[in-house]
Amino acid sequence: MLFTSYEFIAFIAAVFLLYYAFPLKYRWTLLLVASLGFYAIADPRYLIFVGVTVVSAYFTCIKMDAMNLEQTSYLKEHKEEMSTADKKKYKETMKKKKRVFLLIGLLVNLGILSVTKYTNFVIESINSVLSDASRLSTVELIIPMGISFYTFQTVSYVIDVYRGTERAEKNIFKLSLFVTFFPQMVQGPISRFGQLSKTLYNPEPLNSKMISMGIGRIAWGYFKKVVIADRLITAVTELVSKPESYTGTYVFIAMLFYAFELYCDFTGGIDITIGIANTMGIKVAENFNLPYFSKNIKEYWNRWHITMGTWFTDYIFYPISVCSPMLKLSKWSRAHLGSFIGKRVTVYLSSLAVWFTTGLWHGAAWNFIVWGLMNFVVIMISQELEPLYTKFHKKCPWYKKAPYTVFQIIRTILLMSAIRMFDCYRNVPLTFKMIGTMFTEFNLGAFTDGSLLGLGISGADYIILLAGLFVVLGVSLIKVRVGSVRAFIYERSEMLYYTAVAVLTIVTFVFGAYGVGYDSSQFIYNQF
Amino acid sequence: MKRFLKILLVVVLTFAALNLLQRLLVPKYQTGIIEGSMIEEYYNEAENHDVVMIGDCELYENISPVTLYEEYGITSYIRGSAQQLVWQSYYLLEDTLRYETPKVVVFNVLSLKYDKPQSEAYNRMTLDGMEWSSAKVDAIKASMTEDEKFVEYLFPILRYHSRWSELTSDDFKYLFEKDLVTHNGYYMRADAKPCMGFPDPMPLADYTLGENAMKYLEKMTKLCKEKGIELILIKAPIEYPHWYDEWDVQMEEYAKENGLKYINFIPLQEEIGLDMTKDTYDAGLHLNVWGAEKFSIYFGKWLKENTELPDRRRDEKYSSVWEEKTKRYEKEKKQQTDELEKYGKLVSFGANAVKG
Amino acid sequence: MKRILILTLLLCLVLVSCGGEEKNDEKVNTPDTETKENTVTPGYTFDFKGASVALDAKMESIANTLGEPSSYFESESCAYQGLDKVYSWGSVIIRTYPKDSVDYVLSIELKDDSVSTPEGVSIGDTAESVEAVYGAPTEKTSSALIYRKGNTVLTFLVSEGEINAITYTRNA
Repeated sequence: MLFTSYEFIAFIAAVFLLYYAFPLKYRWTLLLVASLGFYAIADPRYLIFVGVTVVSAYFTCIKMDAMNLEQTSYLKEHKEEMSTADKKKYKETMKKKKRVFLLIGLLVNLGILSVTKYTNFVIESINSVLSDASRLSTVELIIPMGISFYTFQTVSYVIDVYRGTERAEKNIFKLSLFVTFFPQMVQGPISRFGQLSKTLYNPEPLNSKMISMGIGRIAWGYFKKVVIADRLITAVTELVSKPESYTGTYVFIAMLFYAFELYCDFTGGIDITIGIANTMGIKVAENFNLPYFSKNIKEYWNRWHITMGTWFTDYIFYPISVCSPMLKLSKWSRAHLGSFIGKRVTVYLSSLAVWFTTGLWHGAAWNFIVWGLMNFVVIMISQELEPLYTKFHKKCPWYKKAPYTVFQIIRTILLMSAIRMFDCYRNVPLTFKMIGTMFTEFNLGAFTDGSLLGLGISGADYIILLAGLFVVLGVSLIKVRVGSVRAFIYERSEMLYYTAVAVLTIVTFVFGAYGVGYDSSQFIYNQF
Repeated sequence: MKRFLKILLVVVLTFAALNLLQRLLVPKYQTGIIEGSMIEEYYNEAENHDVVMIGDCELYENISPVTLYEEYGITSYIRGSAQQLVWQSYYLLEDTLRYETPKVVVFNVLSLKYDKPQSEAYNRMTLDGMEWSSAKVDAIKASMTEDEKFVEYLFPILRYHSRWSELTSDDFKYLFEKDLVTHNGYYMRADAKPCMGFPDPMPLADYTLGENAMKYLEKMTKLCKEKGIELILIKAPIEYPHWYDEWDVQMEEYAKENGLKYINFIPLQEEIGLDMTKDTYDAGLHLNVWGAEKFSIYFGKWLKENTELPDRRRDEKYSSVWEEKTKRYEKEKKQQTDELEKYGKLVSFGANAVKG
Repeated sequence: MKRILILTLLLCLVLVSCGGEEKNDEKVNTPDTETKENTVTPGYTFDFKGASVALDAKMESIANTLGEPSSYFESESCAYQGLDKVYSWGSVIIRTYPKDSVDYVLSIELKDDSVSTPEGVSIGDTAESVEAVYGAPTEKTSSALIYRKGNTVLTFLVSEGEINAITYTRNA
């Protein structure tokens, strides 16, 4: 079920009404039923996968949690008689015991994820180096809906319990809800147990502000998604599916369109998710913080798909940086290769691992891996250039002025958009070639000769797009100053707020790119 | 409480605005393509009809109720629409029976050749004009093609919203009220384009009329029996699209089995007096008003002889209503002939009047 | 402990092998990926005068390749929803249907033995020879051999053991 399907809207409406018919204490049970239903409607077989994930996480975590308790109480009891070395030794043995369960939890969950999502990718990659005769045939697998999201969520929970930062959930049904909470299954965010569980099981009681805020956010999400993103996707598809005819300036146009499309689609989807949760009194982690206002790529990645970024930091970057082989390597390279390399070796290797897996997580294709690596390269280069920038900034005090900031922002958007083209074209060499034509062919006539109207969007559509993007930009600029624009309006005049939401809804109904004449596209992130 | 009222006010106003926009955005079918207005016009009728005809263009372009009245005093209405499929005809009959029970129902059999939903555009022209009832719901369900969604019938704005960039003056002019475009369901055309012959029909592997289509004919037969209505099956005197002999035989048999009258008018063209070089406006696919009047005279006579229909011309209740209808009919006929004389073609009717 | 590990691994394998048909909505959906057409099995096509004619294909380019037809007929569909067209090249008749002001091939009809299907069957051949070329038909009636594939129904009408008509129609 896509956010933009009538079925989804009906589903949400039904869940919403039933939800408030339930007493506060039991509202989570309704959500569980709804979430399982959400899966069952898509394909009942998905429930088997989700079930295995839940059961494996449940039992391994209960075990690890018990060991954590045992450890604490044992240490407390024997505080006096144990030496520091003893304590350390005891902790080590406990850690080893726990690690078995951690491994089971990770193996099961990452196992399902990698086999369902990557088997065919591996087979195809092997095939590409094999001769025709010895090629392997690909296999047909079901990929459960939202598997990348719920697997990552579950893995973070298992690791958190292993680390002792979270207690295990004793109620398997509650844990099931955490894993399957349906608004997140379409395109994230990736919630942490500690954060989401607070309100998921004990939601805020019904109040009109909460519902108004939530509905307003849903409406805003749909506006961005349906009016802008779904209108742009037609042109993007046309441009990137015929690379032979759309080169040079068209690649640039495709790049810009895709940047806006993806932003509106993804942030719109997240707004819908968070809005739905908010109307039910549940707080879901924010996933975006005006990423297109970032001044550099590092900042961009702190503001775009935030929950994914922090996940990779906490569960890939950090463990790799501090694992003992890495520490040894660092020591060794400091001694043998000098401090310049020695300092960098661990950071580089850990970052490389992060970006490789980030790429792989986005999709089972070389395009995504290269995309991840490109990010890695750009981030590392800009890190190395940091001292240079600092010098430059010192010499040119105007670097803090608005024009330079705007320059930085545009530079970051363009750079990120160019890298993102790996999402679009069929394969990696083609992407490089197409990006190349952007610098060699300047067919600026594309803007004026009417060929922009041949991309599947009409002149009227362009007007809507411009107006829509202008609204998005305006709202974003206000957000920089006041924080939540919705809260800002609501606190000044409720009536104005309701009216704004109503207008937004009407505009979306009339000017949305849905129904006959528009191919309702899916969220780009739906396959994760 | 005050907050609740505020919210309520905004919600009500939102729905009102959406409703108004929906009115604006749905096609009006008032000039050029008027076929989409046919179904809803029926609900304006003040008096009952002795004959109700259900079916496709072979009825609404070939039979003139005004002629039937003038010549025989038969009051009739054609609930026709473009490519009306048999299940649509059936549910239109159900719908009609909510308002009146005619003595005779006439169904044109050509549409039996379609066994499955065909086209969204035609579905819309037939279904959007129906008033809401279980008949409409069932008709939509039976008619939807793969890509259509029920909710888009329920709220047509979901289907037509993208027309905002194609609105014409008609959309504003007919926002609240529409003109009558048919004469009791009859679509008048006074121009002529001679028939130059038709391509040979393609041989078929199986001439059996579809199971689904026949199921609805059976339902129609049953419903008429229950209501004491005489169902008459006709095949209009039009040769194209081809009406295979094998289909004709099946109709004969069906009529016999069910004690119905079935009459195929194709072989009777000459007897009717049709001259397909003059009596058709589109090279033989549909009759023009001159042809339709000839056919109506013939068909009316047949109806008079084969059924017991009262002559309503002396009945004051009907005569005043029909006088108005006749006036409008003659006026439009004159307007069309005048246009033909002046421009050599129709300008405010048919293809030349299609906007955009 | 090892046993548990092995068990979990096995469980993973069992789970993933219970997959069935691929779910469309889980496909990578970046803009360039598969469009619907790719997943449709192609139907029978007919080769004529250097053009490969497939049902539901756009007529314009086909008509350009085939050149001037020997006769042509068009009929306005009700309520101006476009023209239904019939092109005839003597031995071959192609009918089209309109959709969003583009004409698509509705049916192909072979009229005589001067043309044959790409697989080599023409009018006048025996019913047995059809089955020898095309294999067992999807449906067989007293008067027809019917082959369904993709969007196409290929029909051989049989009379007294001989083929007397060949048509390609849309698989509804």
